[in-house]
Amino acid sequence: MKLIKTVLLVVILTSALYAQGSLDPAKLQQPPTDSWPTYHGDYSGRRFSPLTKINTTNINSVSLSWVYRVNTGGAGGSIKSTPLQINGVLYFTVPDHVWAVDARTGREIWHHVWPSKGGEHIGNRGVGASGNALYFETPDCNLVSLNLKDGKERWHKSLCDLDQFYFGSTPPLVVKNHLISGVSGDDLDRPGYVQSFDPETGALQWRWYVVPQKMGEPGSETWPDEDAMKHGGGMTWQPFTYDPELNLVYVTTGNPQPVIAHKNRAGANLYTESIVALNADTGKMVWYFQASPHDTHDWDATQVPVLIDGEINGQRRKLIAQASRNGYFFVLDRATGKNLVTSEFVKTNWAKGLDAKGQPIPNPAKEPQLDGALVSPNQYGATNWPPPSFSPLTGLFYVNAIRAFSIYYIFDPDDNPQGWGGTDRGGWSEAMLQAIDYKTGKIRWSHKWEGTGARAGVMTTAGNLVITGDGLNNLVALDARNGEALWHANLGTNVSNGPITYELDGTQYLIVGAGDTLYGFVMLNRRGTEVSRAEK
Amino acid sequence: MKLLRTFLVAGLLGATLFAQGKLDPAKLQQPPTDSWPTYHGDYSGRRFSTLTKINTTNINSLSLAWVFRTSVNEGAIKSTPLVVNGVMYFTLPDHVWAIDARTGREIWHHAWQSIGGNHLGNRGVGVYRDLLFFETPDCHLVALNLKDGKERWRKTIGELDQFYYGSVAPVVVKNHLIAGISGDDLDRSGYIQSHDPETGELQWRFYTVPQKKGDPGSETWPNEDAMRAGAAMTWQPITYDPELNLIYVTTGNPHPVIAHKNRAGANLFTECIIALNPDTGKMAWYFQVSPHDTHDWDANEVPVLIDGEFNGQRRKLLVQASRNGYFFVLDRATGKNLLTTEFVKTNWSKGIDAKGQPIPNPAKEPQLDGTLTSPNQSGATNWHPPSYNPITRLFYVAAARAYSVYYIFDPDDNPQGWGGTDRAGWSEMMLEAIDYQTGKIRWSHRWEGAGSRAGVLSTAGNLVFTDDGLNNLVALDARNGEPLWHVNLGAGVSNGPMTYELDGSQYLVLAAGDTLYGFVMRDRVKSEK
Repeated sequence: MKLIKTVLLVVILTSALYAQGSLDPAKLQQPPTDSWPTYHGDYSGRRFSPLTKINTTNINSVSLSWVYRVNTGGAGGSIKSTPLQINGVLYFTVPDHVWAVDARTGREIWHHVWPSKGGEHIGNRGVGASGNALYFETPDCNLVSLNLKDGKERWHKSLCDLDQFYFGSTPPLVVKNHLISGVSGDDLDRPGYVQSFDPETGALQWRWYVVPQKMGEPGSETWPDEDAMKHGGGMTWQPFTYDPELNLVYVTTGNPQPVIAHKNRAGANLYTESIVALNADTGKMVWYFQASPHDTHDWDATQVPVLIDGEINGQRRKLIAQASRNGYFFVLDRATGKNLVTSEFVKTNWAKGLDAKGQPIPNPAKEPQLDGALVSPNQYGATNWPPPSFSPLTGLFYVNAIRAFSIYYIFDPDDNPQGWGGTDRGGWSEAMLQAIDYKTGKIRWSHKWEGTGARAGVMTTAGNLVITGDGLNNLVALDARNGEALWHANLGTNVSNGPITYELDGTQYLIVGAGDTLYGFVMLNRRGTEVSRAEK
Repeated sequence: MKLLRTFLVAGLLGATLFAQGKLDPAKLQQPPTDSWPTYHGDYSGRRFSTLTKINTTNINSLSLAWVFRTSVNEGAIKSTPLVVNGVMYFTLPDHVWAIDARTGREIWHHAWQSIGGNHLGNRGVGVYRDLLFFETPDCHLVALNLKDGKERWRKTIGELDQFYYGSVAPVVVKNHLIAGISGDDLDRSGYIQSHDPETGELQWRFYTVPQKKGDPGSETWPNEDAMRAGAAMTWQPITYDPELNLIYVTTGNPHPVIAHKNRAGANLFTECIIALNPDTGKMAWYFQVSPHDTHDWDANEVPVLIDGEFNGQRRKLLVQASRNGYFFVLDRATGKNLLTTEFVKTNWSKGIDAKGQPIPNPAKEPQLDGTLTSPNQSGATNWHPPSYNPITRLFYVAAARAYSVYYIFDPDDNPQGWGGTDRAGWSEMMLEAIDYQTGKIRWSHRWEGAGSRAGVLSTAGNLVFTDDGLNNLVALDARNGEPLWHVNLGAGVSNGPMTYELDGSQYLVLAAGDTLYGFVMRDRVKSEK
């Protein structure tokens, strides 16, 4: 059993030599190859891999290497986290659980179970890592640090007030000596914020509030009163991106509160529904751009703010792009926040046009009504949290998009509504993978899915592949250049996270989560010489 | 979305055009290619496929096509799926599924309303024309429509109150639906019976232990009480020779299992390979693998039919790698023993008698103060089906060499139930490739783990598929045992792998725990546009 013995030997060596290896901070600023050290692979949020061993010519030969099903003791849980891969070990989560699994074999190295006091268990996006430590958030509002090596706890700090119905779900991002983490809340009439902690000690370094805390503060002019803005929501429930040169962290913020009814929050409701650039050292805001002023449709603007170094109008620029839940694709100058492109990546019907800043102007007729208003997109949005991808080879931004109609109703006609105060009732929808030219916002190609539920993350590679899920339980590989579907595997349940890839020992792996199971695929060498060798 | 759409269309067409297609009876007598119409693929029990699209040169390019999870909390899938007209049928206790063999999508799911019984496992279904048959833990033999899974008829095949249960994949032979019966630690008589596939009407029943003094085999029991409580359950599927018109039935352990003072003698027809006429249920011959067994070594391992040479003569043979560690080759027309060898080293017999049967060593029968015996209770192999490859002429079996100390707990002159047990010690596991003409081990591939055991499939692509005891599905070179490829499925392979070709693509399907995995060899993308 030489082959398997060799693999086992490698595993044992790996566990002994590498599993305890710490994360080299330089890895965070390189395109991921032998590692995947942050939620998005690197700080840019591109989810692009320069690896080419798995490519359009051989994807039909990609082999299943291992299957790892999480055991949460019956609690279940879908893997929404993108695994990190550091020194041959994968780290990923479901709420209250962290696993370290051998990246080559799928064998469990350790499993950490957080003894929960409660909180919202809707999902956990994964971990951050720095040096010898790993960080994750818990539903019961803790930020926890574990040893990479053995999953033992180093420290934990309170992140938010569980009694106020905040919860933790975001993978913290390590930037220099800052551990930057957001907070989550569903239908929560409390202010959203972002905090930075010392990665070594967990001591708080700074906190930035998404909504103004008192009249006179920047943004307070977009709220009717202090009560409204202090209960204005704006949760920071998605991972950040970072530009080391500009030393800016790009934060995205969720919907204002109340969600649907809105009589008590006239105005743009800053800084909800915004892309915000913060100084990583101070937490001070440098600029903001509001994707959905005065949102009334639950269209959190928390989609990945992807950093693109590219050309616009013949000029090389530092850009940031977002395909937002409201159906608009935005390209900004990421140093200044200046808008360069605003376009629809699916047809929508809710805005009257764009303002001078490039922000959509909501049409009051498309705000929720007592007798209903037909709006597109629906509440789920034209896209949602599953991460998109940008390939610098094709210059295309790939996003799983949905064109959907809903009728939005007001349930609470009170002058001071609370909670949701309304909802939507879904209608017709179609789902597609859109390849967007970031320079113009034009759809270069669109691949319509058979099903309507395509909500998987996307990854692109230098092998000219786009890897994603189709909403009919298939993991699909398409040609990044033209959208041709090349390969698929039906995993019995939908891809539930963002796929990743890495190369170890000269072999390229592809990892994807579907429900409670992580699948590891691999491109093996074709045994071209095998016949003659085996004949002897 | 051309590619996927094509697959979907194929899937839909498959479901509408073919799912309702009947099983052509001729398929049962051919090597399985575009179908897998019985538990073993064909009547021979060889589990050999003539397909070559998946082979030693391209196994590294085998692609995952689909995953189907059962999600009913009935444990591991032990059934080997059948494939008929592009639809796959398989079971867990009380559950039958029809899924698209190309895409893994569910077509129907039949849930049996159970009134109890042992839910240890179910080996699968049998198919006859447009009907499908399965056994239930609560002792029913049930017929469903192939098309939609609706019940056609049900018959009782045993007494649930007596703790019989159903788990065997029924096998259809001409107009006979042949169904065995299961029982764990059951002090009742084993039997096998035949039903009319159309109506479910009982055609015959053959008791595996004599029912009264004077019946054949009664001379091997001390009294009528002992033999009627003597068990010999028929909990594994049969094989069949259409030319000889003989079905080959295997029988389980005698009762009490370990303690044995009240059952002196060989205890016929426990621990036997038996040839029956399928039209009458009359016994043509028997061969006893473990006379007077005291170690729970059911002789239910697959009686594999080989048409091959033996001592220079072309013969109709039957071979079994048995739980007791012995490999037997018989003439399947007469039951005459041609070869008896150990396929793992054992220590429990004094030698071989004139009929080729091992002679148990009384010192290795369980003792009050224990006796070190090999193999252990789980055996040198177990129910997991082996494979015979006519190209390599090797018989492949998942084997274990294991030691146990066997104890008597019940020293009474009339013990009941188990009356003893074994306590396990050291063990090792390997895949053995046995030359059936000599019984010699041509090659043995030792596994790193000593965990779960799996069935074996061999193909004309010179591949052997099985599990390594560490949750890996492994493909080995059938000629020399070299491992070529593996995938860790997170759970051990829990059934016998099977393969088929549809639309020019070869599929490989197997179960690991509650999940069925479909692999496929796709064409490589030829050129870039």
